[in-house]
Amino acid sequence: MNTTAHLWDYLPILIMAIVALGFVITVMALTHAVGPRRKNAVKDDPFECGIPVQGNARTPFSIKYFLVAILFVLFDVEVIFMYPWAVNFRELGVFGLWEMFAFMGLMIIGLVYIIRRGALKWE
Amino acid sequence: MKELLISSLLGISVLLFDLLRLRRAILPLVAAGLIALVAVVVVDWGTASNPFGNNMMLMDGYALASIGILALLTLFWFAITSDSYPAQSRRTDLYALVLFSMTGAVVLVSYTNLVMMFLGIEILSIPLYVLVSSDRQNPLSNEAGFKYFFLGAVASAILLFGIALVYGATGTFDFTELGAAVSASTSNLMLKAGIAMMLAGFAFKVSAAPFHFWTPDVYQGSPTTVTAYMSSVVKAGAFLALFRLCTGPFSAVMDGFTDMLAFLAALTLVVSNLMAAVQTNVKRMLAFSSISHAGFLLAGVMTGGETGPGILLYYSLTYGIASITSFAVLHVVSSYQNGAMEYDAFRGLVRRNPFLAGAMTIALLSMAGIPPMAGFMAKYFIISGIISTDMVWLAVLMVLTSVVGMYYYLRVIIAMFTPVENAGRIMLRGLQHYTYILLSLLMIILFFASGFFEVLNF
Amino acid sequence: MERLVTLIPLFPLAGFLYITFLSKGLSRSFVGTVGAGAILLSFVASVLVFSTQLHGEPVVVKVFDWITAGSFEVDFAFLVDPLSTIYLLFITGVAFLIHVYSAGYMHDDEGFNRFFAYLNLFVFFMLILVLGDSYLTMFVGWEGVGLCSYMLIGFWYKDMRNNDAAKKAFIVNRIGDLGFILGMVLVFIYCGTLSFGELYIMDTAISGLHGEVATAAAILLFVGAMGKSAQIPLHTWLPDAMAGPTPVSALIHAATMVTAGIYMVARSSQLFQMSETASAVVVIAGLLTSLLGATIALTQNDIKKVLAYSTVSQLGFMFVALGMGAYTIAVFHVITHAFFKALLFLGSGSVIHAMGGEQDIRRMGGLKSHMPVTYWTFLIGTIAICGIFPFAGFFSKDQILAHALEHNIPVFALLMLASMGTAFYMFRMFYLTFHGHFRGSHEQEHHLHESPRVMTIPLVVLAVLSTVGGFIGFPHAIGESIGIHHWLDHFLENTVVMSYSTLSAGSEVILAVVAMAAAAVMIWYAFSVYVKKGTRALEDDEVESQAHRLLANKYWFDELYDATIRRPADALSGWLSRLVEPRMIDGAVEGSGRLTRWSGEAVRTIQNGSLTTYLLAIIAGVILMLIWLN
Repeated sequence: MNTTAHLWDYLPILIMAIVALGFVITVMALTHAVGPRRKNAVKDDPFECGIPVQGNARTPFSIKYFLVAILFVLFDVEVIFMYPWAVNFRELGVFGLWEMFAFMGLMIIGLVYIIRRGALKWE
Repeated sequence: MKELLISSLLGISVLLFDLLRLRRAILPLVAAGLIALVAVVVVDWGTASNPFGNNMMLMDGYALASIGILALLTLFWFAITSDSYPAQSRRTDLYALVLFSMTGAVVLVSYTNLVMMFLGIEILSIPLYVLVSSDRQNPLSNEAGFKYFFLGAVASAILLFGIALVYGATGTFDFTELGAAVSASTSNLMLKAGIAMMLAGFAFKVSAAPFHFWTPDVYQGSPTTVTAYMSSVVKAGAFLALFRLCTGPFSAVMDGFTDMLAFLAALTLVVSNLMAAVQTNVKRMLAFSSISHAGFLLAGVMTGGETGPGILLYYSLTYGIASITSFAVLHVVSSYQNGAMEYDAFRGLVRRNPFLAGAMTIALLSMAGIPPMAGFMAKYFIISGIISTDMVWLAVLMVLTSVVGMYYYLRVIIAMFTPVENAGRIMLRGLQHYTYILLSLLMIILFFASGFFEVLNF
Repeated sequence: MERLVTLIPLFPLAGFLYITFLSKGLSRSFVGTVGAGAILLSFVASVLVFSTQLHGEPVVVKVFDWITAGSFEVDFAFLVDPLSTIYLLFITGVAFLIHVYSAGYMHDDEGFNRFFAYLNLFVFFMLILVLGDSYLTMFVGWEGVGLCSYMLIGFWYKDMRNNDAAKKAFIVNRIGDLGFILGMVLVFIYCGTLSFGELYIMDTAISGLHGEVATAAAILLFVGAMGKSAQIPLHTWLPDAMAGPTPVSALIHAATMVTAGIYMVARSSQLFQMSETASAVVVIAGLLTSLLGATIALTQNDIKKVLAYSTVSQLGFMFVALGMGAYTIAVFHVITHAFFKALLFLGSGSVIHAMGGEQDIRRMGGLKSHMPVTYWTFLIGTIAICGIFPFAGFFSKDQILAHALEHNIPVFALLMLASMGTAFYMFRMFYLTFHGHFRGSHEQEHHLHESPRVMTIPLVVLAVLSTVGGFIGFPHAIGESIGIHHWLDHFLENTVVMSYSTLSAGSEVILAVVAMAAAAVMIWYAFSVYVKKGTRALEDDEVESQAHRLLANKYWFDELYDATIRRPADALSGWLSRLVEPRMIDGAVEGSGRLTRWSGEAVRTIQNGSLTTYLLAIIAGVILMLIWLN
């Protein structure tokens, strides 16, 4: 690899960054400038029709949702490891299979542990 | 390879033991595992090892010695805090997290690839975010966890940005190639900017000024046992990693950063000692004292040279032991005083439990650098190293700030020896009792055994 | 063997740690067994190491790297050679006997465990002192035994006088230590090393010293020896040190620690050999001390004080031998002295034990019938110290006298005088204690009894050693004519500088007969005064003669030091504390403290707990570092 990189090699990236940032700013500015605005109580309401609003929307919500969500993310990310394995399944062969079993095994120990600790208990 | 396997599997085994309802066996398991880790280090010592994981890591002499010291410190931590956690299930979480974090430190002292280094830092830090906020009922602990997480994320980002710039300038993550590329282009501005940002990221992790602001708040907010762990194993791991980086691939350009590091070290020493002097809370004082030792260690990283690794290891070990001891004593004392951590909480400790008072005295004197405690030799090595690199002003500053250090360390000692009316005795269980004796003796024995570290050759 | 050598000091250390930390609730007999057992193991190991030295070469056993600072390198290493092994042997041997004895003597003391812990620690440091391969290692042991001596003199710390005695010993020794340190520095500057192996065994580095520098180094080291071995003018602490328990007096202040000075000078024999001036200083100090000790002892009435001054006097003998170049004979006298002086002290302990703590010989008398074992063993010790054939003291003392006769007749005459004094005061004490009528109270008389076995057996063993111990050094001239070697000289031949006596067998016999006859006259005189006539010793307020008063008050040494050193020092420190300290020093110190706190408060404002501020600091730091690059 070419180790004598220079800053101007990254000029396209800088241009790209400026264009991306500029586009967002321009568009947002444009919508504010061009779009007509009509404000009234009904229009600012979160729901324009249906059940009337009860209280403030910015209330603390139960940590349980958060736990479930974070566990989902964890296992979602775990799958990322399986894609490259699946692609190279033939080359890696039985060794790869055992490696994946070991990996899954360790994950499952963690999963079982947090379930035992009551992470998924709703009450 | 074996070292990494043992340390990571140990954490998982702890979880497994909990699942199998073997909670009583967890502590023996941890002890056996850590002793095995030290044993493996001893067995592997001096044998040539090959890089593994596609040149990601290398168990060279430096890595082995560092792992040995980290494992010992962790072992001491488990021994001395064994009573602070009753055998309930919450303990398992903390133990597993501590072991995972130590695994991060193991990675951090043996990496040969920048990706692995970043991975190590994250493995080291993420369990800490949880550990810091593990005292869930205490708002201070929650606040500390959030602050640490937030600022830690920023620091990681800066570090990552630095790695990216270095990669941009050299096109590689690998140490060998990196070393060649760096010495070929020492004046490349992008490379230097990258290194500077990596140094900044590390400066945050080791709490050097002006990146240290999180330290007092986090150290104070965390459960005291966690603070003990952070100021010993985590600090040692981060410094040993930084040293590996500076003397390894970046050694060719480090001369250009000497002034910067010296300035950081000086700023760290001045700010921390001035702040420590005005504290009324012992835990916060110890946090600032920990920052001041970061100043010393930073100077140790700068000096490098043949004896550099030995000196840094010696400092890490001696400070780690003193710090574990002092925080553990603080934990016991405050738990007998409804959580009070002011200087007054220590009054009459020598009557309440002479062993605790003795261990605390030795630990504080070691931190202050009074012979015949090991801390004296540690400071002496670093100061003489600094003098040999012709930065006499920094050496003078180190001595002066150590004098300020005497002031706040002695305040605790004086409080301990101040008589107090009807003080109840503090009882310690066997294991803890012996650990305090062992650590006290070690702090003195290491003073005499300092020559061994100085001639460590890698 | 190398591992064995490291084990020797480790046993007592382990004993000390065990007794200090883990002996709570254990029975006394168990603690006593642990304490004595640790020493016994050391003794066994010493015997094994000693046997390798009978035909072996000196060995340096490196234990660990100790100090490396620039060109200054000191290993913590042990030197195993004939001199150190023979010291090992008698230190561990005598210490073991005294440990056994202490188990009986201290049995009812509340500080029993503490006592054994200190004793073990003392033996550990003593072994380090003897084994150390460099002056610095020796100094560690040197200071360590000083510390233990301090703790043991003040063992009964509830009595303020004991604490004062302990402090006195400590402070007087510090003066000597200063000489030792300066001597060490001088040796290091000129030779570049402090290792005995390099300095003396290989004979290479010592060449850096010569002429006046060698004299200065030797005299400075000798000052250290003076402190530890109680030579004029640093002898005042030793008699006061008798405040400690009697086994301590026997082990530390008679048999082992006080002979460390002899050991050090013998170790440095090559150095002392280089300077005639230094050797002369050693002879003069030794001679004065032996006379001073012998004369003061004539009037003392405390059984332990008599023995203490006799120790001072005997140490003087040893230094005279050292100064005349008879290093092996000094070591020989150390060994025999260790046997009979330990025996005498333990015997006196047995007497004190029976008397319920009474130490004044004017309150004793007629103890012979009550305690036969103590009586007979004490008699052997007394004869041995007076130098009567064939007891141990005869051989060593006779050879010192022979050397003196050869080299310097006045020295010989004065030594003879001291030796005659010894015979008189020892038998004076002996007769007053064991013969005549009992002069104590009725209660004491009722209480008189022989000591238990655990105390008498060590007495018997030491008595045997005091009887036969002298045969390891049979005089050359006589020995060769009847076929007995001077084993000790032969053994130490290659370790220290040798000086052989050239007296013919005939003159040696005559000298021995004359010396013994002189002693016998003094013994007979003591007998006629204190037994035949039954004269009693004067009470303190009956003393009239000026000479007697001078001796009873120990030549006013303490008062002299008080007036010339302590008072002026007190005045100076008073002046400093009234004027200099509050105005100048406190002002500067408190000022810098105030400055520190003030700047701390100033820095504190940034540490405000707000994430935004912290973040700002981090970003500012990164930007600053990036700017620094250009």
